[in-house]
Amino acid sequence: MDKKQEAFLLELINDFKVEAAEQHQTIINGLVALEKGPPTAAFQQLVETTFREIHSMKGAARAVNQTEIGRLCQGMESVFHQVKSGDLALTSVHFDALYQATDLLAVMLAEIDKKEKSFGANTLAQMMKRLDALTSGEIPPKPMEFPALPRVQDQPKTEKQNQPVPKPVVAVPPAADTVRIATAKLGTLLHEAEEFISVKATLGYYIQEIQKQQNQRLSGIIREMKQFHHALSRMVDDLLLDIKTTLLYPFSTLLDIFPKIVRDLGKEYKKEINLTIQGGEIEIDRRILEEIKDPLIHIIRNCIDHGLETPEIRKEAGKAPSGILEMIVKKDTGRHVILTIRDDGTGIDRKKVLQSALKMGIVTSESAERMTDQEVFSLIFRSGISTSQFITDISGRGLGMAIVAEKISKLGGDIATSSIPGQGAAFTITLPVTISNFRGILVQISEQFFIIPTTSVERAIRIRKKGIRSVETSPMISLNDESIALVRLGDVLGIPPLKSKTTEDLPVPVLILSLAPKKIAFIVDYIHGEQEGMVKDMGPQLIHVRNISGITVLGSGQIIPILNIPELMDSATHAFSPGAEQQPAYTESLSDHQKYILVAEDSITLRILLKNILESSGYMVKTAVDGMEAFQFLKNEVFDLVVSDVEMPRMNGFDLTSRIRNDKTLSETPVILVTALDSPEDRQKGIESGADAYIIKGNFEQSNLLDTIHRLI
Amino acid sequence: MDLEDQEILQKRARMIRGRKKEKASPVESLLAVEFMLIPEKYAFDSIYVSEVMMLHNLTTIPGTPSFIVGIMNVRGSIISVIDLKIFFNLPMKGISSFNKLLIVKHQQMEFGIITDEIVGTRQIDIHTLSAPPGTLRGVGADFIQGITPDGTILLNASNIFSDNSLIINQK
Repeated sequence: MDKKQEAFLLELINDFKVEAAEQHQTIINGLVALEKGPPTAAFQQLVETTFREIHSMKGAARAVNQTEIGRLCQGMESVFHQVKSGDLALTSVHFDALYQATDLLAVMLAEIDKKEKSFGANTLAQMMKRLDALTSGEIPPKPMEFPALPRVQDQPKTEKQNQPVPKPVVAVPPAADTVRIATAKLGTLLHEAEEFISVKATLGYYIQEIQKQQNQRLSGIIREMKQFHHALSRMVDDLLLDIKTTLLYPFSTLLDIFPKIVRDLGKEYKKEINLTIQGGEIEIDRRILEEIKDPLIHIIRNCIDHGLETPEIRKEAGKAPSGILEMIVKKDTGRHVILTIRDDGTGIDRKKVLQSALKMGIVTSESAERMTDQEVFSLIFRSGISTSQFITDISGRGLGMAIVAEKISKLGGDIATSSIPGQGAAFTITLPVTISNFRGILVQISEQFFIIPTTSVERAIRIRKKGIRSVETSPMISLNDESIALVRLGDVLGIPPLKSKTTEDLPVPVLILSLAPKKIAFIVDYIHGEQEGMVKDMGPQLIHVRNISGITVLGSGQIIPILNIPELMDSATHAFSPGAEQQPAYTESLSDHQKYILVAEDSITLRILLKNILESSGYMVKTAVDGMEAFQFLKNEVFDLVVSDVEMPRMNGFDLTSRIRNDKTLSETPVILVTALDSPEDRQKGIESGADAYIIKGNFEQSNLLDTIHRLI
Repeated sequence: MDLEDQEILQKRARMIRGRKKEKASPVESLLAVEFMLIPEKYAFDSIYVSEVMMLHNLTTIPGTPSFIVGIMNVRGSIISVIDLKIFFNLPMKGISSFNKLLIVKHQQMEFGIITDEIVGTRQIDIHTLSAPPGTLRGVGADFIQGITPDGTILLNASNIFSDNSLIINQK
């Protein structure tokens, strides 16, 4: 065979694999539906559809020299041929054999490219024998479980085997407006579009740098560049969003595998299950579909193994013998999809969960009594908690649900559970429609920078030495009655600390990272705020470096390593004496040391921006919409510092500052005015009103504000 | 078989032998990029050298072995930078922005080799190479193809690219 022909055949085989996978799924769907025993008309239609799919797979397989697949299809086709003609009634014996044939078919399809097959010629021969037995009537036909097929008079029984397949009866999705593109190509396209994020960031960085020059002649160009940057940002965001939409897939592509899984598990556990699937047409990023496949299978297994009861038990409880299992997909108003999995089984046993949690030392017996049902049920997402007394091979080890929760949170989603004893349990999974860009907190240790994924950061605080207590030589801090182990990020990563210039007890920034169920507080040197970017790997030579999952490139072109949180937590744990984490810590509360800042700002955008900047730098923040509200808050609570806008309704920043200065209890509170007004008179007015610092929004930079705050408190 | 036939066969055999020799000859000399790892002079086969550049914006990665100096952004692709001195027992000195980088690439593998100075390119005749000194053992010895009469050490590119100890996979 020449090269050209070889390439053509390869392409054909690739097409066949895609097509066959779809046909395989349709065949399985057909079998599951047929087994339910639908009314005559629907039954006939299903037989027809399934028969047609098998038939066309056979033809295609032969065309690409996949003779074994062709043979197996032939065997299945003969069974359906007899069903179609009414000579054969499908019983559970037939279904079992046909399901087994589809299983073998799946293996064959998966191994088309493999030289070494996991099945031998013998496997196929045995399967063929089983199928032949069905058609030759060796198995005594059981009484008909389905309504007898009405004989169609004008279709005599002598129809030939290779009679042309009748026209499709079921609706085929319109194909005219769609093209089939390899997902790899779309992936490349997305990747290329994502590169523009760094172009956008780099341009923003240069504009900022040029602005620092304070050159009058450049100001016009800078203004133009800013507009251009704005337009470019919008274009990039739109492009990215549109490309991401091309990667959307209907949920049904994933949900279609469940009827068979549920059927198989039901047989295994001797449970009757009525599965309902809704909302399969709703679309979501296909990468998310791929990632949640295993978590969903795990939840479904849990529902069947632990949730649903056997028919006998259900009857005793006054329920219908077959259990209800639902998978319902809904779109919420935002860019999220909500998937609910519900069963009407025994529900989650509060007592068993608590017993397991007590044994693990996650809760104390006193706190256990006070916990709400909701709090108790959420414990099942922590590792080691299981309600099952028996460890089965599919569930009961207590690890599964923790992994499920972790995987979903990695995708930017969330899982919650609710349950009514005796009436069932429900798992609600919220997922983003598309995978969003990576967001992380930029931190500094000595002279090195690292990024910590924002999703793993529970909060950022500042602590002083006296807030640290040691428990059996392990340092700990306590926050809201919870003791958390404390380590230097530099120690975990092997970066020597810089020699400190002072012995003064300055507050140090700490990030509390959480990875259910673990929480560890990491000391860093600086927190530089949040960054958006895309994750890249570290080149062909560095395949996997411990504690580091990849890198991202800042607008300045600087490469920043991204920390791998599961590995980092693991590395940090080895730094403690074993069991130290669960030790009760006699620590004093930290709340005295965390600085509390009041932000007064009437623009919602700036309010949120300021709040984020301050919180990610370890401050606690309260916001007020104007000077009046801020002053009321100041009367009721104690703040360490006030950051205020100047122009606000009801009471402006100057008035607020004067009122603070004239109040006996508040007069010492530092005030920073952040404003768009930049005239010498305004500056003068600010100083006169008693403000400690005056920051102009125009050339406002995060570090400038943070430095100022740092100096004042 | 008569004599005439035998003669023809022998002639053919000679021809084939001759052809083989002709084919092999171009490999016997190669164009190499010469650089300094103070105090020695090294050379790398130029067909693998994609470019020479200044060291800039190097980011160190904690937890990597000491021969990995860090990673760099070379026009959007991320590559690691390695220091070969460790393998040749050469004195280590601090790395500065004066260091020049040799970017080498073979199939999927690409990295930067840090040098003290780039000397230039030269033709090296494989026949004139002598074996590396017996004092050098381990990875270092594998990385050397031979030494030219004037003392330049030609690195063995294919061994360097295929050496698994240069690939970091701490899984």
